[in-house]
Amino acid sequence: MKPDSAEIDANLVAAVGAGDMHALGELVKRHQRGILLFAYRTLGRWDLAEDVAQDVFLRVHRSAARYKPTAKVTTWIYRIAVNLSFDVLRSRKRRPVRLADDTSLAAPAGRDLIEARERIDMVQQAVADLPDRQRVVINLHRYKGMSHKDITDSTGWSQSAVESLLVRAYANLRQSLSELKES
Amino acid sequence: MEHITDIQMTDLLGGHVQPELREEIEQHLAACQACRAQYEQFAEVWGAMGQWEPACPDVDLRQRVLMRARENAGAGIFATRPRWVSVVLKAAAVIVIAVGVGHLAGRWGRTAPLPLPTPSIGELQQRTASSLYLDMFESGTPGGLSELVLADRKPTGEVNQ
Repeated sequence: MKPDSAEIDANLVAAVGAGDMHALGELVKRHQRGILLFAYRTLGRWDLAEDVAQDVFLRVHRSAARYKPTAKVTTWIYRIAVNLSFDVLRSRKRRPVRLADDTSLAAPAGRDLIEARERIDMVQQAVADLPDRQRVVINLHRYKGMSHKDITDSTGWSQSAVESLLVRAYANLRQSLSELKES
Repeated sequence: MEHITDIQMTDLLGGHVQPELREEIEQHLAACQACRAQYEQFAEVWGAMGQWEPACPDVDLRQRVLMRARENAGAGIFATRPRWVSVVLKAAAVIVIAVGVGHLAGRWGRTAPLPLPTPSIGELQQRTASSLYLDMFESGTPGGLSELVLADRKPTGEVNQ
């Protein structure tokens, strides 16, 4: 029987803990895109996102030997990513910076392209305007497909706090998007 | 079924609802206009957010991570020491520095002992006499034997019979 994704991750972490650098490379390969996107959506800069992603895997390497598989590896990895992203946010003490051209647009051309770009800019702006904690839970919920339980485990916040943040985040986004649409 | 909560709507959109509950929610949405309107608003935000798919830079972090990881591993135990070790080392360093500074300050602050004055012959004799309590016999001291002798003498220097 073929091992599932969680099992592969657990085996890789065990191998990293035993000093297998090839396993570390494999773990980076499997998760770097997800971590980069999460960190970018949280911090708004690719250079910071790359630093965070790199540090995430270095911490995984450092702690792999002590890792106890009580939670999924992805939950553990994202918990590190959340903490490191908050460290960066605290050190910067300001809003993430939006980049001018960071979005791949498929198919539409001409007027459609402009409208699509405007819609994406609005979404990006609305997400960037969210308070830090709301932005993190939205990223994990909407873009990482995590359930409330997974988000609770990845952030260390209580389930009621996560649910409250999530509802407020969606409400804020709805309001921001409608305001941006009107303006 | 009661009205659907906001968190249930986010669950539904995220696909985190058990099949039985999902069916129940969908039936309620079909029947309740208020919940349906609320759900459509959530769905609109959900859909709009899905359009933001940043173009991830074409970087391969493996080389960077592996290089740094090897460096850290090469640093041995000091690269993976727990936090308390660092605290203890810092405290020990502070104590060593404090003791060192204290020692040096004491050494530099100490003044050289003054040379003892060389006593004169008279002083030496006096000290010797004092250590042997001979000074009690000197004239002018209360109870001194010399006083008794002097008191019995006539002014001419004759001794009473």
